[in-house]
Amino acid sequence: MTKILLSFVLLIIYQPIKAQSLAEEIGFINHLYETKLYEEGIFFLQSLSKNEQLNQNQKDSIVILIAKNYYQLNTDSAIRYLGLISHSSHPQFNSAYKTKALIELNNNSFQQSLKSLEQINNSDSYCNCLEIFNKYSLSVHDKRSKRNTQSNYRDHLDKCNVFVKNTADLSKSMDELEKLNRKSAMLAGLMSAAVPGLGRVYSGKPKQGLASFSVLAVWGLQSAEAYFKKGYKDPRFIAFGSIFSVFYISNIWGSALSLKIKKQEVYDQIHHHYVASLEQYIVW
Amino acid sequence: MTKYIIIMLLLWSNTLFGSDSVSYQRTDSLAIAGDYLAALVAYEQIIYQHDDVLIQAQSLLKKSYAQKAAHHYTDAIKSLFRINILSNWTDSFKYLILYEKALCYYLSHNYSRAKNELSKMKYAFADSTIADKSIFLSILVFNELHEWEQAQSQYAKYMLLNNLNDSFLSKYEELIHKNGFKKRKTAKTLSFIVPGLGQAYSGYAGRGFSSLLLHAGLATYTYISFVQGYPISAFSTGIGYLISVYVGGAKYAQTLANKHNDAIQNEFKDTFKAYILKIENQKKL
Repeated sequence: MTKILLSFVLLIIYQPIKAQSLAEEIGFINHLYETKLYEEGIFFLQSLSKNEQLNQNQKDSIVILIAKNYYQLNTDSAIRYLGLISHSSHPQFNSAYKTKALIELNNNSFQQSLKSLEQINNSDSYCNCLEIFNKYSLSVHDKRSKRNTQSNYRDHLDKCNVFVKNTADLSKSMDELEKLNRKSAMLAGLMSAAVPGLGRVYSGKPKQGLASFSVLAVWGLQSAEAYFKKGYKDPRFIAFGSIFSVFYISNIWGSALSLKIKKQEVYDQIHHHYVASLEQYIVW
Repeated sequence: MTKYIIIMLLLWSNTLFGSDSVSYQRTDSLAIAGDYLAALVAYEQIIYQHDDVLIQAQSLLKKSYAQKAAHHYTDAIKSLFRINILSNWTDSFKYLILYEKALCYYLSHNYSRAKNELSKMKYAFADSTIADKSIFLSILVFNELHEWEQAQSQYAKYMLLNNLNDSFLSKYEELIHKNGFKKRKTAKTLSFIVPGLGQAYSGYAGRGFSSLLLHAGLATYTYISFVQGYPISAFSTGIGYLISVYVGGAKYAQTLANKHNDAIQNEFKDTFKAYILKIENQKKL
């Protein structure tokens, strides 16, 4: 009987100790993070999350901490964990969702990023910048989007200069993207059909244009030589002519594609510049 | 297999520790059971919970063993570099840290850093015989770096310390004097004189013959094109490709000479590694 009572008393004493344990473990979790032992941090936090004594707020804190560690290793997993936060009343909910929106923006998941921003309770200027850049990116990638829509978002982005460094470089890249948007892929292809490589020069890739012209000139001259020597039945003409034709058609297609590639390259520069600037303001 | 033997050798060196004020029973059992991540966290908890630098150092060393066993050599090196080496620590412990760093660098194929760690042993201890325990690792590192003279000198010392008869000294002499090696420059020159001859000299007669045939084919094409009145075709496809193949063939002959020499060196390294690890293993038993 005494033993049962003693066990009962010990059980009552043990419960508060167990409840306090998370606060004690936070120091160790921080130590792991500061020592850049992210995998170990995730493992430890995942084992902690199995504790059934934790309340929902504590569980959400653990989920955020797991995402924080994953952010250093694998951003997809960080997004997955941030999506597991169950209560928007958690003190770190807004900062966690800002981070989630930024990671999604970085992964070119613009719609997802906008949805994450919608979840945030009190939207601030940082959230607005994220939202505008997402919309600007969507308009860049949407073929049906009108040019003035993109310019409109760009004007709004100027308000975000407080978060962005080297705005002159960024503005230069945006101007270049606007110029490229005015160009036509079909025209690039037609130009390359007229003069091989000219379409690539038009798309902003002069070195590629020169290389294409040189290669086609070599095969073209050999085909012409064979044709003028013995006519279209000459085996040399058939061989070189076939090679020339394949290169010629590929070059037309490639020139039209090079405009798209150039646009993506310039957009990637803007994207990288913007995301890298906004990343500095992440607070976990 | 060799990596496993080296790991086992080092795990036995664990006995250098005296009695610990911390119980490693649970952490060690996790590592032995292959639950490395749990073991790493458990070691890290000990490090976090204790202010004693010796306990921290011992835990970090044990943690590096677990990381090494999981083949995470770079992580093991990071753990070892977190150990704060104090002057009042025993030479055997300091030796163990340096040795572990060198070994992990060796296992991660970073041989020049391994050599650097081993060279620190010369100046770290008043008793020069302490560093002799890692002489086998020095030889393996010098072998990997193809520093044959140093490897031979260390091997001669190793033989003396272990009362061994000459097995590899003459082979080292051959490597130092590059006996049986093919000269890169000769291979290149021969290929310029007769296309394909450099490849044949490097020990790849078949590839040399193919190269000769390719040159002959392109030369014939160029000649016929000229004769039949196709100068553009003769210059662009004929001479253009002929020059590319001619220059490329000479470079390829050099590559093949290197390949031949590497094969000789790698064969020796593999044989030697198996031999020296067998001796070290027998010493432990």
